[in-house]
Amino acid sequence: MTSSYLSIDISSQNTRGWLFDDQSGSFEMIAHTSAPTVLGSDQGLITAIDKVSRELETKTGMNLLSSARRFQVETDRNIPGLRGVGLTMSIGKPIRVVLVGISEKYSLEPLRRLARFYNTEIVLEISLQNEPNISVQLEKLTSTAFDLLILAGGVDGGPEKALRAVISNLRLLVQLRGGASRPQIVYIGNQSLADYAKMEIEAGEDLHIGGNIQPESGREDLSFASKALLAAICRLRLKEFPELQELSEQPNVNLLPGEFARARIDHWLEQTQTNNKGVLQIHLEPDHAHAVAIRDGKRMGVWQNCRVDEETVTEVLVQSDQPIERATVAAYLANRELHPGFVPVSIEEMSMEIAWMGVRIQRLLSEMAALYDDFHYDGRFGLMGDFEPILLSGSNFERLSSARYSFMVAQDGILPHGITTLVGDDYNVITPLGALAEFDSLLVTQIVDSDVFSGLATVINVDSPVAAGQKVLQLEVDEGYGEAREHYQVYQAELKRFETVPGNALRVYLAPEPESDVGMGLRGLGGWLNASVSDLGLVVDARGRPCFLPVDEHARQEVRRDWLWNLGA
Amino acid sequence: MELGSVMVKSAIINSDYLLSFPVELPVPGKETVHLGQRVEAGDVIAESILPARFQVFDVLNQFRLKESELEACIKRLAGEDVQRGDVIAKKAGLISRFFRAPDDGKVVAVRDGRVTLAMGEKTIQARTPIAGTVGEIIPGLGAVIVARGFSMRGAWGNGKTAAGTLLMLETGKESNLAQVKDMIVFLDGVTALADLKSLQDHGAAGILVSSLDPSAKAALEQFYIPLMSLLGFGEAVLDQLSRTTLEELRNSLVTLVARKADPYRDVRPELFQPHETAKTAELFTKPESTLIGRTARLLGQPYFGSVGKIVELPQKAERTASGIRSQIAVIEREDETIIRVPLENLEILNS
Repeated sequence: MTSSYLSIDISSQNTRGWLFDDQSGSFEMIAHTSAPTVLGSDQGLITAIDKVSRELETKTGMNLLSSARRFQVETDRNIPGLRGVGLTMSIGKPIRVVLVGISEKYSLEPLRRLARFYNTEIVLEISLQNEPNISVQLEKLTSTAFDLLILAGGVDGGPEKALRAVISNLRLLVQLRGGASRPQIVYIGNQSLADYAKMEIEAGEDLHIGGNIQPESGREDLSFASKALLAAICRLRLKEFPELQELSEQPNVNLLPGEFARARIDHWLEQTQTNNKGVLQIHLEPDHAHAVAIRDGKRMGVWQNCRVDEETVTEVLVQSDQPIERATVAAYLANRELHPGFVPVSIEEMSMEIAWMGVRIQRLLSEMAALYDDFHYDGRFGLMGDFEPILLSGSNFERLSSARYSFMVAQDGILPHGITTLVGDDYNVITPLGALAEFDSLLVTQIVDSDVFSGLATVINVDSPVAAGQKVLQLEVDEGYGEAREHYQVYQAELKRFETVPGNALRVYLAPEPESDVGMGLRGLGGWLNASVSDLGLVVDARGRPCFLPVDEHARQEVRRDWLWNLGA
Repeated sequence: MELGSVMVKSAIINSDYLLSFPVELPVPGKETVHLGQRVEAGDVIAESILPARFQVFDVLNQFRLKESELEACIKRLAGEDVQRGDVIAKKAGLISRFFRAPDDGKVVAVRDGRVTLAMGEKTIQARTPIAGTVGEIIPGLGAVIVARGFSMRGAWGNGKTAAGTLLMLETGKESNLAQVKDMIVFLDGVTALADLKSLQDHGAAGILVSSLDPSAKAALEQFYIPLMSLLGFGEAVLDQLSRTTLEELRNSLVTLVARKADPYRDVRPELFQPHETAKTAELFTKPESTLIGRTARLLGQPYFGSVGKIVELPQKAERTASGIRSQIAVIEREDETIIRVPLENLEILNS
């Protein structure tokens, strides 16, 4: 019997819907649609959900949402129909978070990593070592406006005295706040105090107990707190958008933050691939950016809300490929914040837009590097770890007019090292897959295998200490037409593209100069590389880390234009 | 064709507009109004009474007691009021030890050998800056105040609100500064930071400008009086209809609701005048159900701020000079030139 799955993702600008089914024998995406998200009215989000559901119904002939606004989920597996619904959200105000932990290094730092994965704003941190005065702690807690408190209880069987005092304070705080505006409280760590916390705080469903994020000394695993934090965040979002409560309470409807759903699929991709590299995803929306990096099973992630300051203006100006005055850039960015849907029309506006996207990625990854010691990124020297594929998603990428723009934004923002592949999630399908994964494990596997992602380019990043203009790499390209092979030289500060022809992957032999590192493990070491068919094909980035750029502003802009030109007009 | 993004946004100038203004406490408390209640500017909508300070005394550890001795030691129960000097806990002995209330207050908790005292009171109030009716209660935090009247929506605000008489001021005239006290001052053009500071220093109640210098954005956010830009930032020319409307409002009492814009919730700062007045209402016709024929204001250079009539809405998306494909509107500008503009880059001027 045909099983269908519906997923709806609500972001600030658009609400998107996808429908998958296995009528053909394996799962396929059979329809997708999007509608503007309208906030400000009571039924705002419901209106958008209704609209995308109706559009999908028109496209597929299926009944998805009843007139009473209930998903038409069919639980009898012998009858074809909708088996489950994933509802994801990337919308809402930043959640104001208070972090309480025993020490800075072992409690607050991991808690920051935990909280910053989501759309949060840390409004207060209390280190029990630095602030042992219980009275002062209580005063801080009562005079701070917050939605969520995360308390790290330390190692199992660890010191309890200070924690018990905080828990007593939380009890008082919950009583003072009353039911309606009670914050969500997440307790993680020291399991010997978990039951005590539950009984003492008496916050009912607003208290969430998680596992210990440091199960052994020196080992951190934030996933032990995931479930508790997720439950707290979902409750907060349902408070903010109560119109979703009824829909989310239906059986077989899975409500998740969009970023969590994406990370789940990134995790799965990292586990299933055999290249021993991590997976990186950059998601850009007009109001926020989110990065997820999965490496050796460890999830790293950070959410960044968009902000424009003087530094942003300077960086955009430096990275623009057009002669634009500072005042123009400043006005464009300031107005862009006010009108997130604005479409860049002129060449100058497009240049500022592209530069701004690159700057946003740099800031996002810098923030991730500040949070995670294992994530090595520097705005000038780029990303040091091996990540392949690098996934690009979100409406900012979606609306760019060509693959070369997406490539330049990502490449300039990330500045990867070694060999990697840039992949576009054109249908933004990672989010719905993450929300539907737990209904049917075959769904994710078969959809990912169905070429739903578009290959943007295979990139060879050449790292060499030589001066601009000197040879760094020689390539022997086998285009699959018999014995004939083309030979090419790549020089320092160059960006070179080799097109792939549909149905014909490129086979390339890399012969780097002795001082050049092309990601084969050693400087000077080369070898064969297969570049799959993609929008841009194979790109060799020998621009240097940091990129070789003239000091003169006009010359620099010209070099940037040349790089873009090299990718194809 | 998808017109949603334009149709969902309210028009810039509305003669009959329902302003919704949430008034909320920063920390939870209790609302003091009821649904449908009429409120005036300055009325308290919600308040939170918090203890001014807390003292947690660990009786068990401070007095070095065994748990079995604790009960006899604590002299007050949770919920009891205490006066300064009252004995809260006492350890009997050759030399007795006391824990006395350091101030008037209340015992709020006695748990695990710790006594928590709450002393003094601090009241946090949320007052409405606008007059209107309570349209919605936000439990524990405040209420949404609604008011009907004339509205001119802006692009950027610094989050403050004030009422006053609208004064149209010519820039650069020192002599004008004497008139600005308690006024909502309108300045045309891109106003320099120094001029704005001068108005603030001379006691203006609020400032309304056509456009602002983007390099001063951080400083502008720190203004303690409301500041609102009609168009946003950078070089822009205010359209004639907006100017005429402002002329109509000259010397009348207005409220400058310079709240921060939230484009996703269609929340914008606005110049508001409660009650529909004959002179503003007659400027506008009834709301149109179609976009064709309506006056739109353009975003982005080189037309930023200028207006034109929508004469055509092509069905198919078109590619712009930047390469991005977008649904477009064909606009006839005031100088009769015809241009093609992405729908996202225009705002409907009047309702």
